[in-house]
Amino acid sequence: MSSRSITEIANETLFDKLSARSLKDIERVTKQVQGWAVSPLLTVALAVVTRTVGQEQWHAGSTAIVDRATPSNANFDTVLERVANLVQEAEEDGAVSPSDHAMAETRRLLRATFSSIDFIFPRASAMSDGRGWVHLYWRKADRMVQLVVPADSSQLAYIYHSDGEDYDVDPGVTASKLLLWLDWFANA
Amino acid sequence: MSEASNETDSSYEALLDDATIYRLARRSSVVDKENGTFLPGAFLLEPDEEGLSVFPTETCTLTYAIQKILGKCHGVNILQVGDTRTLPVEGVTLDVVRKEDPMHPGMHAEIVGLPYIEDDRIRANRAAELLANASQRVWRRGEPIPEA
Repeated sequence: MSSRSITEIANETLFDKLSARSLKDIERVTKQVQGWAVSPLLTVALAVVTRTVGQEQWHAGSTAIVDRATPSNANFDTVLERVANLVQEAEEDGAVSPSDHAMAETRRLLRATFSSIDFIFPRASAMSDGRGWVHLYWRKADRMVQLVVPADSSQLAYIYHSDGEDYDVDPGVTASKLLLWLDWFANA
Repeated sequence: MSEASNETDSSYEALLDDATIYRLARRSSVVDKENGTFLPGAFLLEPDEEGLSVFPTETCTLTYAIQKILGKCHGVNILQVGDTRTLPVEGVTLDVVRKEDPMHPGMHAEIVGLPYIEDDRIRANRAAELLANASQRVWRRGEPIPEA
């Protein structure tokens, strides 16, 4: 096994398949990979495996985690967790659950946006409604960005945004568009 | 989607501007996990609603609102009726009128005149945002009931 392939395997394992975004997950995965003891080359490879997540570089070392969880990643994890909890919360309330489409599309947009963000991912609140739609809210004093994802693909997701007395809707959400709005929200 | 009721039926008594009303959270997700405020979505019309259910504080106590109206209440906010009528959203005129609910005689009212997000997403979301901003937190699930 070449060192290149080991690097690829480690990279993929650490950051893609297991979604090791939080410190806890990275520690767990690192221990798991060390436990495999496949080859001395693997630990060497792990020491140099890096992957850029925005401006933060995540480093997995053979004996220690070099970087710790960043606020950006922690916030992103929190938002994903809040989205995931919507189904159970709706069930507990005896309310309409968010649709599978709305959940999947929301997650897809979040992950695609996060993969190219170069500032700290802002925390959002998640809500579902009686239509099975998902709403994400980024709010601060005078500024708000709201991602609205309908229950099925017959209606496009959109972004409602407000800044003081100005407000409008930006229809048809893509990851790059959401990124621009989050930049507008976070870096005003 | 049918039009939301935006006119005041003569049989419906409008509340006075200085009256206050409770808005209840039926879903836990409408309460912001960060700070306990109501998200704007707490003021969006659901598909099966013609108006937003509210409960005038004159006839409905906070304890009753928390314990008797919903199977599980996640929070209560309070609004002044006059603030809803002067909501600065062009093309949207809101009112608050009594609307009898046999389960809670004399205690129920509705904010009427809101558009559905399917019909007018800009104004519906703006009105919801401003109503959320105009309301004040009174109680959240897990807190003691002030009047109890």
